[in-house]
Amino acid sequence: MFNQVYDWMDERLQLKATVRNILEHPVPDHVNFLHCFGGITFTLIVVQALTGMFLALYYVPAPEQAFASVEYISREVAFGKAIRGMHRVGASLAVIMVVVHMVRVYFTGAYKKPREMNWLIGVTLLFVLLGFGFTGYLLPWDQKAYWATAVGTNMAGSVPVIGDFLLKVLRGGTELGSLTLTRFYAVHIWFLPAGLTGLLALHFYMVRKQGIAGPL
Amino acid sequence: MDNQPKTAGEPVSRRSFLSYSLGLSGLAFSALLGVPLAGFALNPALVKENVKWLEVINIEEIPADQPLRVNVKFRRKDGWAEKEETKSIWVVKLGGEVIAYSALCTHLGCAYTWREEQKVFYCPCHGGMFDIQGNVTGGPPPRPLDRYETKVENGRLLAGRLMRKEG
Ligand code: HEM
Ligand code: FES
Repeated sequence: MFNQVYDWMDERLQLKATVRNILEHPVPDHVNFLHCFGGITFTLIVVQALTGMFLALYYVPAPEQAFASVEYISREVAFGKAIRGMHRVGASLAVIMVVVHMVRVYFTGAYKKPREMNWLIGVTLLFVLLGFGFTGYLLPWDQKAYWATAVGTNMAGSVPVIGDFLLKVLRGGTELGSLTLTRFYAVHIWFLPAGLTGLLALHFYMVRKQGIAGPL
Repeated sequence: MDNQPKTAGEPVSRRSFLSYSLGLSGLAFSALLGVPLAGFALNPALVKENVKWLEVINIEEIPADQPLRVNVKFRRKDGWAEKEETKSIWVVKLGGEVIAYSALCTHLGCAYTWREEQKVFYCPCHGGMFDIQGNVTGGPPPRPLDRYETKVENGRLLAGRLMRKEG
């Protein structure tokens, strides 16, 4: 049955060659477990995207409702604690794994010519991941979230010359409030994922095009 | 594209004319979309806030040389909502002068307290310290405590715009 469908599609799309090209792509001899961390990070990101999409079924980004909706997820929704927990723990793990990945790339010298651009894309990816962490941390709208954001945005405010403007852009005004929450939410679920997707596509395209860097 | 045939008398080839036009219209479209989008996103940072004078406390109720934290209730417009909020302001009467300090540490914005034994404002977050005049006496804060512009009307202390003194 499966084979028949597959053959039918292959006849129209010539899938087999592409699939073989992906599955039978040779891996160089020197590749070992140290080369797994980028892939682990990506796996974690896929889990984050999934759990995040489901959290959005119940979460409400408004000051009066955010905390209550998060409590509702934890207390009443089936597997709510688990889904929230996965999204929280996964966020930290992704940052840890991406740092390990970066360290591996650094110590194997894989950032050198011709891979400089991919290193730079990697650095941008790191900041995007940290951006996810920063914006996501506010969303439960409890005391810890509120004050972490108060302090975090104040740091941006201490930048010379443009600090004040930067702070207002981040907060959506001088004070932390409804507008901070809606913009952090929008950035967390739309702007950053869009950026992440594009950057990852470039990152993987370059890895594939340039091949894994040679042994030390 | 050096081997493109150039038609005699045409300073720009048809192909590059078309690519320039395409590039230019791309730019124009981006601007057409980008300017309103940027204005939309940055709006809260660009509008001028009108600062209202808040009634803090009766001048007589402020003890001399003894900082007092006052919780001031006020209405604040928060996006689409208007809310009753409370803001803490530290008031100090020094000699004849009354000072109103923002209750947030100038380091990274934690709430500080007054320590009577040491006569300092102490911030628990990173150990910032200020004397009663608001000057930094210890820890990481980069500038003295921020003061509110103040005035007295009918014996009541009013606080207005927050002023920042670089230290
Ligand atoms: C969102 C985070 C990231 C993901 C999902 C990711 C994923 C990957 C994957 C799957 C690979 C293939 C080889 C491997 O896994 O080691 C790779 C290679 C690479 N990554 Fe990342 N990466 C991320 C962030 C970064 C960062 C932060 C840097 C450095 C600043 C970086 C620099 C590189 C470089 C230079 C290569 C090529 C290495 C080689 O050819 O041996 N990446 N990445
Ligand atoms: S916030 Fe007060 S010392 Fe850092």
